[in-house]
Amino acid sequence: MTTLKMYLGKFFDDFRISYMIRETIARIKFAVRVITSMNSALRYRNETLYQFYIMGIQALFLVILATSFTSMVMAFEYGKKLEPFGAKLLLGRIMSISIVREIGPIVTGLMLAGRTGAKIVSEIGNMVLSEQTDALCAFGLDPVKRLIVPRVFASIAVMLPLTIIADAVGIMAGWYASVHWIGLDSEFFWLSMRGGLLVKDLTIGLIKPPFYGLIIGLVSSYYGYTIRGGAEGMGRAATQTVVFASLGVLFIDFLLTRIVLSLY
Amino acid sequence: MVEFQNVSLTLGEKQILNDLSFKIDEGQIVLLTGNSGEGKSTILKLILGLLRPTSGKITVLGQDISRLNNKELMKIRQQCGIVFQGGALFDSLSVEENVSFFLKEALHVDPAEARKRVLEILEYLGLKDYLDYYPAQLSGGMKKRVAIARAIVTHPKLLLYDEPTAGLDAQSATRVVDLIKDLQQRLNVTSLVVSHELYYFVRVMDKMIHLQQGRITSEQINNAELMALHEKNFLGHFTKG
Repeated sequence: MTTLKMYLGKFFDDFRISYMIRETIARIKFAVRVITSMNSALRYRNETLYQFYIMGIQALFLVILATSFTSMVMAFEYGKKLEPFGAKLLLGRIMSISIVREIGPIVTGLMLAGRTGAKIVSEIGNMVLSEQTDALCAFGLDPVKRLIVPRVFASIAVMLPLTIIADAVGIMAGWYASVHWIGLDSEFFWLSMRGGLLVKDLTIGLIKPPFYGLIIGLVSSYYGYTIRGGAEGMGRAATQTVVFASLGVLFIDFLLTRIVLSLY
Repeated sequence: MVEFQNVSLTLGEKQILNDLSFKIDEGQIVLLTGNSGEGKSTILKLILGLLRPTSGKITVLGQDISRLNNKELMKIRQQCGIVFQGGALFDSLSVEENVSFFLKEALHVDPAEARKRVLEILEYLGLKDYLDYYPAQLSGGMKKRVAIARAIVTHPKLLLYDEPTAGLDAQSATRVVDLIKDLQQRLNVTSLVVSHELYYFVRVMDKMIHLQQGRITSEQINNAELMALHEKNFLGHFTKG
């Protein structure tokens, strides 16, 4: 009964308006501090490049697999639904537009939210818990500039090349599924794709990834930097990072799509 | 060297320090004791300006640090060295890189000069053969010595130790304590040691400050008292063991 009361108390504490306002202000302050210190990415360029390389390499295989499977499933589903209407010749067009505008960026974003988000929160969190960030402060270095900015910058920069790779791999996987499983002629697939894919689609698809990278970097480094409570705190921070970074990616996707579509 | 004048600190709703006043003179080894959660490590953070006091005045190396901005505080911090409880070594860096880290990053010392200083210090601490080792490959005592090397490589005037003997066996702990004394004699470094393991430090310290509920309950022990305390704790340590 006492435990139940304790958890209920904590639940209502977490949803107190004053607590939520305080937390939101803390997050905004942190984001502003990181963004205004972004020039440190150049100062610590070796660390930034190292993070870019590690994040890219670690996420590459995951992104390739995830986009391949999603695209093949999409080709299979669209192909089966379009076949009765004799419209499967449109598969190349539909697939390429969907992949370039939405599937490539969003799958890459969600994979990075999990993979890179967990990496950043565990690294920064571990450094906070083992007083390494205090050591940096004590010797006159700013942990935000030295540790967080290179990671956030790398997370932004890595999104674009990964999305381009994801798009290319997704289209190839879609082509493979369309030709081998749906029985579409290979030539028709490419013709349909070339006829349908516009510069506008590429712009919409490539404008979003850096923002996904920013939100993943900020969310994960915030939870890492404000970690409390040892191993239990680490688990909580990792879960919060994956949940909020994924939600952040989906929200940014919705927001930017609305803005870009209203402008075009 | 360090002076606290009526310093109080409140974090959230909790009062950590209450009207604290003490002074550490140049070249002294001062032991700060007290139970867990009494605010001992907080005092180290206040000295480095990582926390600001709610009220009172803190003078470090002749400057009132409660009034300094971040840039000025950095200059003070660069004249201080700190050894954290767990060592706080950077996991991804080797022993050599850990020790030279602040020389290169904060003081921008020439790499050749930095390497020379690192080698000298590691040789003095008996760690020259472990240059390429990573923290995970070192024992607890070695990690502490690497942390000390990192703290003294910048030639600080003030050294702060947070529980330097915690988690070490008696032999390693004694070696660390001897090192603290040796550093005082060789470099005239002022040392503030936070520890509850009085029995290790009683033979080397010049002064002891005992903290209880955010207040100083005893300060400044004369030689006779120190020796009596030493004997009592020395015997107590072994009878306990």
